[in-house]
Amino acid sequence: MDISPILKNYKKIVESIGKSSFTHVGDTIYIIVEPNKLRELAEILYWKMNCYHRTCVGVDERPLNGHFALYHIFGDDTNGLHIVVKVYIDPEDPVVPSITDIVPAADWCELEAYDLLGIKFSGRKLYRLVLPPTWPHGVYPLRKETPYNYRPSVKIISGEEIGESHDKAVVPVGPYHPALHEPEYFELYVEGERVVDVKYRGFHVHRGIEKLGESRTTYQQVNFLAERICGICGFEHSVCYALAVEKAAKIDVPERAQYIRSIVLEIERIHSHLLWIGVAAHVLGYDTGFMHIWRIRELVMYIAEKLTGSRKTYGINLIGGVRKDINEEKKKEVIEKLEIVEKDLKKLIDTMVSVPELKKRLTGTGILPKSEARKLSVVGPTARGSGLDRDIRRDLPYAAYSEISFKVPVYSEGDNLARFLVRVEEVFESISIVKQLLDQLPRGDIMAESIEIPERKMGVAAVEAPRGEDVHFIITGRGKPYRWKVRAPTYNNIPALKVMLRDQALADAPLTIASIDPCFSCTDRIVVIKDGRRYKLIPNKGGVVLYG
Amino acid sequence: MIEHIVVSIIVVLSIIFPTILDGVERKIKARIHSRIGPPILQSWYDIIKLFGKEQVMPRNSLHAVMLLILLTITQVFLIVYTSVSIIFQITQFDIVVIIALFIILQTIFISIPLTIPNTFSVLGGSREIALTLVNEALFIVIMGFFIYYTGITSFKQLTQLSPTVYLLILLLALFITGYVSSGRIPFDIAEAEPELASGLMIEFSGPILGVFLLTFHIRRFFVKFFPSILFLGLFIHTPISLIIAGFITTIILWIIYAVIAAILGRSRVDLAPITLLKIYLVLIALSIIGYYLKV
Amino acid sequence: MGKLGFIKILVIAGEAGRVTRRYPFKPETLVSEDFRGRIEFDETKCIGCGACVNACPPNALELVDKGDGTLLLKYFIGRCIFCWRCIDVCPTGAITGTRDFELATNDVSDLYEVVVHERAECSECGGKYSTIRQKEYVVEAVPITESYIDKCPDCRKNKLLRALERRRGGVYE
Ligand code: SF4
Ligand code: SF4
Repeated sequence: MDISPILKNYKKIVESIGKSSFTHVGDTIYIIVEPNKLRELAEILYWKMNCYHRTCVGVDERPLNGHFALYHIFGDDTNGLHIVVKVYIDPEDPVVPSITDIVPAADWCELEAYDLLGIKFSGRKLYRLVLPPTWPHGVYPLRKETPYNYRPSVKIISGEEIGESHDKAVVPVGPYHPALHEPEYFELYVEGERVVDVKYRGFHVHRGIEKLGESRTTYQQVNFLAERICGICGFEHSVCYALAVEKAAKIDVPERAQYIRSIVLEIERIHSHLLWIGVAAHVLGYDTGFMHIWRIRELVMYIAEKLTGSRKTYGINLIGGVRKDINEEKKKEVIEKLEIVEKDLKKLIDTMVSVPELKKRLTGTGILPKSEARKLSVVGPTARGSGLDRDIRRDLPYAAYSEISFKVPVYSEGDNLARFLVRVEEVFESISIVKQLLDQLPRGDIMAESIEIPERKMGVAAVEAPRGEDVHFIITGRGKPYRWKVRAPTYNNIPALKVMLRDQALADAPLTIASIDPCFSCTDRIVVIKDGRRYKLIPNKGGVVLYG
Repeated sequence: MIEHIVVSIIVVLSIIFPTILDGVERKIKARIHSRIGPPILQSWYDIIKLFGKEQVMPRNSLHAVMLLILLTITQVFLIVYTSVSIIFQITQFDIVVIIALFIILQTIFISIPLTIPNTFSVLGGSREIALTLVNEALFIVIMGFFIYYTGITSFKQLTQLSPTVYLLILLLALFITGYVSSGRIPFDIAEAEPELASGLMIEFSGPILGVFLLTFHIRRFFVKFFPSILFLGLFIHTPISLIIAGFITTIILWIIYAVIAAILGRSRVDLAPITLLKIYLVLIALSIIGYYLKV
Repeated sequence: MGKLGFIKILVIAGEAGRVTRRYPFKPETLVSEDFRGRIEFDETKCIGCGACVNACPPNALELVDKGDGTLLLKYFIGRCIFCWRCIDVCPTGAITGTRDFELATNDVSDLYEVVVHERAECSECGGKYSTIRQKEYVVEAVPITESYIDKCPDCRKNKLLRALERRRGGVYE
C-alpha cells in the first residue's frame, strides 16, 4: 500500500491551515495547530477527508511545558492512519473552541476533559458528565497536583428529587437492569407502548482507572489494570495498552508473541459474541437458545483457560510480549474443540433464526441509519450493521492480523437483525482466524529481549474489540505512563441509542439497548442526554450542593 | 360412595398437584436447556419458603391485596365447583356458571396490577388487558358457539354428545385459549421483558407472592382441565372415568405445553393479539361452515 | 423443515445431554491443570527480598516492618488477582501456584498469609536493615559481598563517603 500521496495530501491540508506543524511516525500523523484553527481543521478532517473521530484527550502538560494540551484523535481508516491533532491551551485560562457542532462524536470526550482537567470549551453547553454531583468544584482529578488517593469530604444533607414535569409516562430502566446487568439508568418516555424520548444516565462506576495508571502502578502493572477495564473484553484493552506503549517506545515484539496475542484476542471475541447472542435470545424470551449458546460458549471458556490460565482476565499480556506459550498439544486440542464449537453453533444458529418470534422481533427494530451512524462515529458491529465498513483489524492491522485473511461482514439495514447477523458471522470468521493463526504460528521467543521505555514519547493504538475499537493513548513518563487515556467502544455507541430507541415499541427497548452490546463499566461516565436537567440544585444550609 | 371418594381426591389433588406440575415443567424445561434443573418439588419448596418470609406490604396496595385474596378464593372455588359438578350435577347450568366465574376471575386478575402504583405493574396490567380483550373474549364466544351447537349447559348432559368435526375444531380453539391463559411464552407478554417489566406482581413478596403463585398454578391447571373435560366428554360417558381421564389429560397437556413454551420466543403486545385473533376467527369460521354442512 | 425448523432444538438438546453438574454437592475437578489459583509460600526459601511485592499489580503482597526487628511479608488473598507475576519474579522460587480457587470464608483472617523474617542488625550502628536470610542469600551468591554485608546501607554509604573524603585529604575525626 502506497500511503505517501495520502501523506502529502494531509501535509498540504495542514500547510493550507497555516501556523501548524506536521510530523509523521509509522501509521500516526501528529499535527499541532493554533486553537483558533482547530475547528477549521476538524471540519476538513471529519467531513472532507472522511476521517472518524476516535476520541479527544486532555493532558496536564504544565510540568513539561507549562501548558494544558488537548489531543483530538481522528482516524482515517481507509488509509490506515491515526491523526493526532494537538492544541496547546493557556494554563491560566484554559479555554479551547469546541468542535461538537462539527463533530458530534466529540461530545462526551470534551465534557470529560472539562470534568477531569477543567479545560473549558467555548461554543457549547458544559455540564458534569463523569464526576458525581457531590464532587467539589475546582478539584480536577487528572491534574497532576491532585493526588490519586484524594477523597473529597462531602456530606449529603438532602436529596430531594425534583422531577421535570413531563406529560409522558416515564418508564425507568435501571439502574442495574438492562441486558448485561450493569449499572446504568435509562429513562424511557412512553406514549402507550411507543418510546418517544430517552434519557441516559450512566457513569455510575467511574473508577478513575486512568489516574491509577498514571500514579500508582508501574508500566507492567498497568497491563493487569487495563485488563480489568472490561469484564468481557478486557484482553483487548490490555493488548491495546501494550501496543500503544510499544509504539511509543519502539519496542520490537517477537512475532510469536504477536500471534499468541491475536489468537487470544479472537478467542475473546468468540466468547464475547456468544455471550451476547445468548443474552439477546434471553431478552427475547427464548431461554432455550440462551442456554444452548452458553453451553457452547463453555468450550470456548475452557480453551481460554487452557491457553492462558484463566477463563477471563487472562493476565498473560505484558509490554514486549506474552507470558504463556502454546505448545503442540494445546494447539491440537484447541483446533479440535473449535471444530466442535463451529459445528454445534451452525446447527444452533439455524434453529434460532427459525424461531418465528425471534425473527419477527429482530427485523426492523432499533434502526440506526447510516448517516446517523457516521455522524456519531459509532464502532464495531453497531457500525457494520449500519453499513459502515470499518474494522481496525483490517484497516490498521496490529498484532498478527496482517498475516491472515478474513472477511468483514457488513449489513446495511441498521436494525437489530443486522447487528445480530454481523456478530454471528464474526464468530465464524474468528474461528477461522484462530485456526489460521495456530497453523502458521512461527517459532521463537515470546518476550522482547530488552524493554526500555524512554520518557515523553507518544503512542496511539487501536484494537478491534468485540464491541468495536478500543483506543489507547499514551504519553510515557518515568517508570509509568505520564498520561494514559482509554476509550472503550461503548463510549461511542451509547449516543446512538437515542436514535435507535425513538419511536420504537417499548417491548423492544431492552433488545435494542442490548443490541449495541453495551459495556457500561468500560464507559463508566455520567450524562443526561436531553437538554435541561432532571435534578435541580438544592443549596442547603450547610452549603453543600447536591445533584448538580 | 366411591364417587364421593374420587371427587374428594380430585379436589385435593387439583389444589396440590398444579404446583408439582409446575416443578415438572421446570424439569422439562431444564432438560430442553440441557441442564439438570431443580428437583420436581422445587416449586413447592419455593412457596413454602415464601410463606416463611416476613410480610412487606407495598405502599398503597390495600386494594391489590384484597383483590388477590378474592382471586385466590374464587380460583379455589372454581376448581372445586368444576370437579364436583362433573360428577354431581349442581344446577342445570353448571358450564355457564363456570364460564361466569372464570370471567370474574379474569377481571380480578387483570385489575390487581392496575391497583399497584408501580409503572411496571401498570404496564404489565395494560398488556394483560390487551391480551384478555382477545383471548378471554374469544373464550366466551367459543363457549357460546359450543352451547349453541349442542344445547348443553352442564357436564351431565355431555353424555348425549358424539364427536363431530365442527365441535373438534371449536375445542381446538378452546385449547388454544387455555394455552394463552396459562401465560406461557410466547404469550407471557404481561410478565414480559424481565429486564423491563419484571411481571405483574413486581411489588409483591413473601406470603402474598406465595399465595399468588399458588393461585396462578391452580389457574394454569383449570384452563387445561376444563377444555379437556369437554373434549373427553365426547368419548367417555361415565362421570368417574371422565374426571380421572380429564385429570390425566391435563397432566399430559401440561407437559406438551411445557415443551412448546420452551422452544418458542416471546411475542410482542402489538403482535400477539392480532395473530391470536386471526387464528380464532379462522377456526370459528371453519366450525360454522362445518356446522351447516353437518360434518 | 422450513417453517418448523425451530423444533430441531429438541434434537440438539437430546444430543447435548445434560451438561450442568451438581457442584458443589459432588466433588469434581472444575479447572484444567493450566488454571492459575491461589499462591503458596515456602517459608524456608523466602528471603524477604520484596521482588514479588514490587511486581504485584494490586498490592496483594506487602512488606511490613513491625519495628521490633521483624519484617513481615503479608499476602492478602482478598486482593490477589491470581496473575502469578510474583512467581515470575521471585529469585528463590519460594512461591508456587496452586489450582485452588474455592476461597470463600466467613473469617477474614483465613485470607491472610504471613511470612515472618528477622531483620539483619548493622554491625556498626546497630540499626535494622534487610533480613538475615537475604544477607545469607547474597553472600552465597556473591561471596565477595561478605566483607561489607554486615553493615546497613546507610553505614555502607557513610563509610564510602568517609573513605572518599580521606583520600581527598579531608578532615576525619
Ligand atoms: S524471596 Fe520470593 S517470596 Fe520471598 S520476598 Fe523475595 S520474591 Fe517474595
Ligand atoms: S498472584 Fe498476582 S496478585 Fe496474587 S500475589 Fe502474586 S503478583 Fe500479587
